[in-house]
Amino acid sequence: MFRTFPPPSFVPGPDLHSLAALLGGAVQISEFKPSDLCGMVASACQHGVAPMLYRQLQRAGIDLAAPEWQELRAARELALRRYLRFKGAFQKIHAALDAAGIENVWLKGFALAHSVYPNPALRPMRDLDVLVPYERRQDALAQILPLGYVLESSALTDAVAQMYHHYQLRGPAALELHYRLFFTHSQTLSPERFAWFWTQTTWQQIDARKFVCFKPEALLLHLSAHAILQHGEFEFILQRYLDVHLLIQKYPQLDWSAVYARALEFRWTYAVARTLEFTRDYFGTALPDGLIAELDAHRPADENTTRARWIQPDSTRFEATRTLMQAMTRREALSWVWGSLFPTPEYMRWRYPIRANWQLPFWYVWRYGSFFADALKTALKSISH
Amino acid sequence: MAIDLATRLQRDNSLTTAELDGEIVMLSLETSRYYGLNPIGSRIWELLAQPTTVAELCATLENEYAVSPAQCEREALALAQKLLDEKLARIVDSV
Repeated sequence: MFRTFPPPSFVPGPDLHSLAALLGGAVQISEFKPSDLCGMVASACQHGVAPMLYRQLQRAGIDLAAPEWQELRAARELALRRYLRFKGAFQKIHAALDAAGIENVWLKGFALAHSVYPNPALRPMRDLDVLVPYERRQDALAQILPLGYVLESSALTDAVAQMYHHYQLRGPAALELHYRLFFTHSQTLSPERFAWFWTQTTWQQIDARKFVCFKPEALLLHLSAHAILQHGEFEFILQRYLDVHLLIQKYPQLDWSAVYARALEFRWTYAVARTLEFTRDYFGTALPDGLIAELDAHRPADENTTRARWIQPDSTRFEATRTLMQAMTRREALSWVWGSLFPTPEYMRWRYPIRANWQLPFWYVWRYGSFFADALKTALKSISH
Repeated sequence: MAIDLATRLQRDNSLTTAELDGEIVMLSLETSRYYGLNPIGSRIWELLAQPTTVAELCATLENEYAVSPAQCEREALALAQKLLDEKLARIVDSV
């Protein structure tokens, strides 16, 4: 752990580390050249932290009405408008699920926006995520579809849909209706372990409406697994680690021993350690002494860290799928192969930009051709290695 | 519809709103239109949570801001009219 942050080698500039240090309050704005600050805007937009950068600059008295800040102003405005749209959508969905007696837990961006950000409009969101019990997922859909939503993943084969963790819907807002936390439950989180999350809920409030989200410890675990096991650390988005930084800052009484114990139990020590490492290294977040080392030292022998790294920058789809399938049951793997090789026409129309029925056979050919090209690329890579 | 200082208004509480840096932004889900209010407009919006006459609005604003009665009345009436035109508020009754 750094005794001081930023580390002595830190040089203020327009890079991502500087942006994070600025957002985390570790470096004063006066240490940056104006050109460095302007140079951060594109990264801030790309990494989902533009409204927070706007706030920091505004608090430092920088005139953000000047033309050079137009992109930052636009990003903040967009985040604000999207937030309003998501809030309006949330109000209707939440009311419908509550009225039908369906438990619902709000995940990720929307929950974080209302629990750890200074203002919910400062946390850009791309969709809403809500978790409902697996056995009530169809009931939940029946409540949500009449609100103007369309099921985007309805065309998936049943076998493949069984392995997904959510329904994807579009309508007044993009919505992921989760019935599990992760794709293929046997891979990342078993049903028994998933049940623990249902016991780790708390309330947040928007206006007069109370909604349920995860307690900070469960939220931290979920965010870690989402960042490292689902998306992969090579898909680096600063916002994911700012979320964690703000969460840790907001809850100084966070029960770290519970986080550690669950990380071991869930076989998520790698995911939690990497998330905390990134958060600390970018934002200077204070962590309990030795926590990351403990997670590394006591990693269970059966924890699959290969899976944590499966989304490599140079990995082929064939390699990624092979790694994914190693963690599946035989039945799941067979379903996956069958669904991939013989997708329904409905799936094809959902997956590819097919404008007319006569184009359908060509897209099957395209699909098999892309499989072949990927397999060839994998073979060539193996030979060259 | 013409309004005066005695007109009693109430905002449409069904709008989705957010406050950022002292300014209120609203979204009408019916029309998908966004509206922004400056800090004084935002204060008027807060006051209109309950039925309030334009005169009552002005009395409050004159206490809180350095504004002359004439300017306050003129601007409050203009905003109230705009809120009514956009159906963001409604007339409750007149005294």
